[in-house]
Amino acid sequence: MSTELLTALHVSYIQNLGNSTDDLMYHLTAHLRLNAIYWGLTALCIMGHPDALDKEDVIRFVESCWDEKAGGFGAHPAHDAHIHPTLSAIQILITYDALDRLDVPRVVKFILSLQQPSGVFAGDSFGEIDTRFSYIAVNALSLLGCLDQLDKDKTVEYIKQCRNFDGGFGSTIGAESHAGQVTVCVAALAILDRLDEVDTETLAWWLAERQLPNGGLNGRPEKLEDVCYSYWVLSALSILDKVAWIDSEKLTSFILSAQDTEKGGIADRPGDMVDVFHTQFGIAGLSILGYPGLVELDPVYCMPAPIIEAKGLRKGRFRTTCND
Amino acid sequence: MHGVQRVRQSAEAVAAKKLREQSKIREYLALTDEVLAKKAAEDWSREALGLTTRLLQINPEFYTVWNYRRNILLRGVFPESSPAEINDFLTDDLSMTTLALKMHPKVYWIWSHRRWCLENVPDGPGTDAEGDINGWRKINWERELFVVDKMLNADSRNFHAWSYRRYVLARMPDARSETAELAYTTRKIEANFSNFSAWHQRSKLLTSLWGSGKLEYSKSKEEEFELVRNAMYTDPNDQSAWIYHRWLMGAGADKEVLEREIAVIQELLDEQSDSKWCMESLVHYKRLLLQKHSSMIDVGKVTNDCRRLLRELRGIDPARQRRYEDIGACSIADHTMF
Amino acid sequence: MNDEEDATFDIIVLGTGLTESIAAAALSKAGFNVAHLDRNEYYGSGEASLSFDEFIKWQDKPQPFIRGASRSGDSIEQARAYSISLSPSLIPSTGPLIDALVASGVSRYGGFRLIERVCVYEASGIVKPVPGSKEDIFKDKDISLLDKRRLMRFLMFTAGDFEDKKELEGHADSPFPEFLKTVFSLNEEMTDAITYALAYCLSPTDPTLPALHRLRRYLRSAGRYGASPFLVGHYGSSGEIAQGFCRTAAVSGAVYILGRSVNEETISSDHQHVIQLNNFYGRLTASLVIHGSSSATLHAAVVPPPQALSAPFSASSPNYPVARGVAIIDRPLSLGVPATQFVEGEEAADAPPPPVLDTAVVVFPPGSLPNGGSSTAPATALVVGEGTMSCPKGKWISTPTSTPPTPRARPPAPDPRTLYQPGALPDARAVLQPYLDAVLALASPSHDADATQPPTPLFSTFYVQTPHSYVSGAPSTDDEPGAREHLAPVPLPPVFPLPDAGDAAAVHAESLFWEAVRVLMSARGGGEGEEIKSMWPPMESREEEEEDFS
Repeated sequence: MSTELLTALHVSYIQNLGNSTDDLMYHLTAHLRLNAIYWGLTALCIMGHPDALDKEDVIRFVESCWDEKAGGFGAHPAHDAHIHPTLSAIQILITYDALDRLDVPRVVKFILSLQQPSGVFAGDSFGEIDTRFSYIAVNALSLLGCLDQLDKDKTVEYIKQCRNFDGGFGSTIGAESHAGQVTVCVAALAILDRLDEVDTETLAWWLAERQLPNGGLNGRPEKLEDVCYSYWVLSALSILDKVAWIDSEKLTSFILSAQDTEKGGIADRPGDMVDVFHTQFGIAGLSILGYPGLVELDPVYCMPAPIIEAKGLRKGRFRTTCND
Repeated sequence: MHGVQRVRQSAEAVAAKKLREQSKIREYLALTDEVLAKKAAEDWSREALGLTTRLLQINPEFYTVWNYRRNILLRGVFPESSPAEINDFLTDDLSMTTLALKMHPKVYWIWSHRRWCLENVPDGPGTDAEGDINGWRKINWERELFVVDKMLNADSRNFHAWSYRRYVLARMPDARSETAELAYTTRKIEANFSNFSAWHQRSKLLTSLWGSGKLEYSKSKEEEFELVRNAMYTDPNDQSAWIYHRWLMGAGADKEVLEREIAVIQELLDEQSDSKWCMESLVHYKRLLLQKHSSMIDVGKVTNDCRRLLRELRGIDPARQRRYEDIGACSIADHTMF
Repeated sequence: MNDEEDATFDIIVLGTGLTESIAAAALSKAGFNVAHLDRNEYYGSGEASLSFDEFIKWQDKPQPFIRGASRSGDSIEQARAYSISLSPSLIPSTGPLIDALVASGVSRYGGFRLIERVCVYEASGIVKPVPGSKEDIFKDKDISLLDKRRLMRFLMFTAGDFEDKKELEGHADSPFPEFLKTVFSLNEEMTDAITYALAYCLSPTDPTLPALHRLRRYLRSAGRYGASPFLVGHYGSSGEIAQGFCRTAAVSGAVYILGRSVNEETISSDHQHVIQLNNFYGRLTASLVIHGSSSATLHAAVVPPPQALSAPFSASSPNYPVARGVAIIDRPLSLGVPATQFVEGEEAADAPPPPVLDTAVVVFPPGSLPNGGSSTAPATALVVGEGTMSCPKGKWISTPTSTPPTPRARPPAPDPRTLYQPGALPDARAVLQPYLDAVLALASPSHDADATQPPTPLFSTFYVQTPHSYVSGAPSTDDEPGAREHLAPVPLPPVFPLPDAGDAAAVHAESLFWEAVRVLMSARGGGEGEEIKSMWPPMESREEEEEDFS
């Protein structure tokens, strides 16, 4: 167990992810490849090593995932276009300042084609709907500077209907509040400047109660802690300016305790197998907590803040004010 | 990876495992290449369908292959099949994904494929005039509820299963009554009242049942208070009950209920003087009293109660002390300060 | 082995009770050459599971520790389909016996069933389910809110590390019911339920600390294989389990000879035991003999059971006679507990029909039977049905048990080796008939015309089991080389809290195993052979370990 972030180990862990082709799990997760590159690259940027991967290699790989027929990105060459890897492609290209390599109008068309009459987005042409996909669409369109083409009211209308009495949000209308869904809905509303739809006090209460005595955060009441909720809960708290409502120190030690101190990477909880998803969300969480030496993460876009700042997309923080 | 333990292995063991994996990798990649090549060639044959079955059994997260499978069925298989055969194909796919779910209960793509299957069950076996045009649909949807019951028995918090359950209930041809579903949530809660998923489902059902007048609002609500009170007293540390109680109380418009519940919680606090949730809830409900009924209560006393409880909370729940400070720093009654 | 030939072993074990069988299996698996003998034709000695006819034969033969048997008849239909246990007991889902079953692989041979319901009988003549878990307490309609909180607080206290808690200060030796009332403010009714139906105390004066240890072991057993903390084995449980260990010993090479008693035991010139059996020509030679409880009459080094407070057997376990009954009935008990508490809407149509109760325990606290029952001792009745493979379809075996007070019921310094002096032996029928009647009154109504009448048992018997008399030798020490060659486990008392008999045998077997290993290794001159590190060698395949219980 380590009490500090093992940056060098994590950097080399992420760098070596692409060299694991003799590992069956590498091939079984091909459907997440583009997402994994986005997670790895973002973690590297947050740790101050944005050049740790071969930029041109990565961009060429992104291009090879283009699904010409659909006009979006699959997660891997020859995989079908889906809204999630499409966002990852955009995020990677923006991180590398290579948006010129993207057919923006076609991608925008692909994304907009997935909005349903109810306002929610589908993930692909087969129509699985989820507020995750609404966030992905809003995020992608915003990054591409094309938010004006979106029917914002309809989008907000659906998200609004997913709000529960506990202040949280679910994946669809009627679904239970879940920290991951809370984050995507709150972040989507933040991008759309509609945080007035959030019951801040109730939601921040619910989010603060996600912290367990061991410092870790869970995603729903009476569930186990998991490092990925360090990001999901924290980013929402951060957007609501309520990070102080949990114990940062304990959470920091919990995330650090889930590091693999030999080979690098972060796991869901101490002692488990690491993966790039939890590595990214652990480091993202530490960044939001202000861990020294890390680049600030933008909690709305889950990308390095300087990049979002440069695009003029940074959302102003709320200030707590008393009326008396 | 979620919940997979890290084991320290010797270099030899790792090397031996890698060696064993090589043939598996070759086999998997060959199958993947074959399937993706057939897909690129728009091969909608039954042979291709069989290959997707094999591949999806190895890797049910390969969403592209699920898509391809559906396209094979839609473009190659269904056009040359009778409705009865189409129904058989879909039933087979449902059985296949039932097995896959047992191994991978949280894979979105499997749940999503089931929805597609259900939505494509053809009319039949009869026609409008003769037999039941919804016969196959009824059988398939009815079975879904059974499958989802099994999934929730295995993991009563699986939110995929709960979402799917709501989907099936909303769309099945022979609709199940909301009161029957309410009884289901009762059983789930009795089996484990930490199961907030079941309490959540209950809150949605009751909202609907009260709205439609199928359950008498005031009587039913009292029963809910009774149920949740039992949970609060049995385990005051369990969040699920307190969150549900908060839903029952709502905005606190009914002063009598508010005061009654405050007394119930106070009695519990007297018995269990270290209960954070008692204090936290008392602060919340007393603030509602101040906000909604200030003209009818002793504002100074209630405000002082809140401040005293907030002070105590800072001591027993230090992780969230800033929240208690923030509430205490503003006018206790002010709900809009944030 | 051929009964004409002489044969040499490392160990000869006499008697196939649970303790000896577990020890024999472990010794055989550890690589020792074991001969395991029993004078009876069946396995299990005093813990055997017998078919109906075997049971009748057993009762008709004089048995060393059985007195005053009476019974209603000698025959029953489908007699071979019964497995009647001479030692009815429950198995906690975690504990020494389950550990031994899993570690030895014996669990793979055997089947087990969860106890479906434990009820406590109240003086008013009604039975109530015993709230032993958070869920039970939440659902229970009869407990007030405040009592729910108090009961939960007590259960949480007991399930945790209570040793240094302030609640226990000064109360370790207080009578347990008093502790519950004064420290946890529990009412009379709940005190009874906890004392007798959760902690299985044997008297109102049982001291608090051992009761807490016991209850904690049970609480930690809940949830492993189901809601109930207790299992019961198929085919009469204890006897079948003893046989399972013998089978494992045989697989590892142990030799079994049943139905032969020892004719003569001599010591050869090279300090080997030579045993000559009746009706068996070959002589058996071994460097160590373990005398199981049923044959422990020789001068032997005793192996006492562990005395730790946390062990299933502790110094507080009393050593007095027990009244046992066996009744065969043809109607299930109806311990009517509604399926769900909060009946609403279409509940009735939706809920599955109540299943026929297969396994249950009814606990009678002292004084709960105003007419005839004991006012100072509790009684329990274990009921098992066809699901336990112990009786045919549509039949149930009920085994009421009580420890009536006798002049020597509580010796001032309880010692498991204390001789019980037969004096005023209780009349088993007089003690137990009221409890059996109360159990029968709980049977489901039949569909016949006389539905209101409680059923008449198809068979019933009552008897008293007395503690083993035992002549002990000196404890084994290195200074007495002769004593090393004879080991005898101190016989366990006949009565235990219902879930403890098997666990006690398992921990006792472990002491016996290590003592035997020590003696055998020193006989070999040490150094020779591999050191034995654990009682059970690691299993080659771990699969199915958890799957065998249902």
